[in-house]
Amino acid sequence: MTRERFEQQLHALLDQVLVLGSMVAQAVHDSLDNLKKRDIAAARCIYEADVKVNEKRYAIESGCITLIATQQPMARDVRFLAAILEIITELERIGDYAKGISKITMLISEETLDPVLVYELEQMAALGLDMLQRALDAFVAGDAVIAREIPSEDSKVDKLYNQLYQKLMEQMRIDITTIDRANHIMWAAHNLERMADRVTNICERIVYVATGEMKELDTTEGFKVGLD
Amino acid sequence: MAVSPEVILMDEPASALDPVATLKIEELMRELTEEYTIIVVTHNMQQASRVSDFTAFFSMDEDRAGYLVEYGATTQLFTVPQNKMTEDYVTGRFG
Repeated sequence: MTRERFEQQLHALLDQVLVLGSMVAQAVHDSLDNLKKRDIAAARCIYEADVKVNEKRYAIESGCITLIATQQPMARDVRFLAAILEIITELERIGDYAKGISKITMLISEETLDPVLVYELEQMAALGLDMLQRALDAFVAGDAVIAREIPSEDSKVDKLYNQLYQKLMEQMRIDITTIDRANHIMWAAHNLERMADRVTNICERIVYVATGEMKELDTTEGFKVGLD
Repeated sequence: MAVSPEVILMDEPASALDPVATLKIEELMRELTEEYTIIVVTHNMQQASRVSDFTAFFSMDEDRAGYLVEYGATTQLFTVPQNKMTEDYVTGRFG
C-alpha cells in the first residue's frame, strides 16, 4: 500500500506553495524596482495584485484542510500539512510587505530619493529574497540543516536596517523638511526587515517537518531598532 | 469486573461496529480508565490515536509475529514516530 493518490495531492500542494513563494518574491523584487524608478503605475499593479496572493493562500489552505479531513494524515504527513498552513501565512505576509512598499512608492511620487538609501534598501531586499529562496529549496528537500543555518543571516538584514535607521534619524535631526520622505523610506526598510523575520519562521517549520522539533530558531544578534 | 481485574484486554472492541456504536464503546473505555488499565488491540489508526494514552506498535517478520517495534506516548507516536517502520505504518506507506 503506497497511497499514491495522497502522495500526488501532497506534491500538488507543495507545488502550489512554491508558486505562492515565487509570486511574493517577484512582488518584493518588483516593488523595490518600482520604488527606485518611481514607477507609480507598476507600483499600483503590485498593490492591486496582492489580492491574487491572498487568493492563492486561501486555495492552499483549503487544500490542506481537505486533505486533513479526508486522508487523516499522521506523522510526517500531518507535520508537513501543519507546516504548509503556517508557511503560507508567512508568505502571504511577505506579499503584504511588497504591497506596503508599493503604497510608499505611490505616496512619494513627487519626492527625490537618495540613491544611496535606495541601494541599501535593494541590498536588504536581495538578502531577504535569497534567504527566502533557499528556505523554499530546503522545504522541498526537507533539509533541516540548511533551514537551521538560514536564520543567522537575518542579522545581516538587521544590521543594514539599523544603519539605514541611524542615517535617516540623523537626516531628520539636521533637516526637518526631510521627515516625510525619511519616514517613508524607514517604513520600506521596516517591511524588508520583517520579511527576513518571516523567513526565519518558515525555517522553523521546515525543521519541524524534518525532525518533529518545534522551537524558535535564534536570530538575535545585536540591538534592533524600531518596532517589531 | 466481577473478578476485580486491574487490567482489561480488549481485542478489536469496535470491529465491524457502526460509528455510533463505536463511539459508545470508546466513551465507555474512557470511563473505565478511571479505575482500570485498558489494553486495546486495534488495526484502526484513528481509534488508537483517539482512545489511548500510550501506543505500542507491533509487527511481524519472517521468523516471528508480534514483535515490538516502538512504544511511546500516543501524541508522540502519531506525530513524531522514532522508528521508520512506525512512520511507514501510521502514514499508510507500508508494504
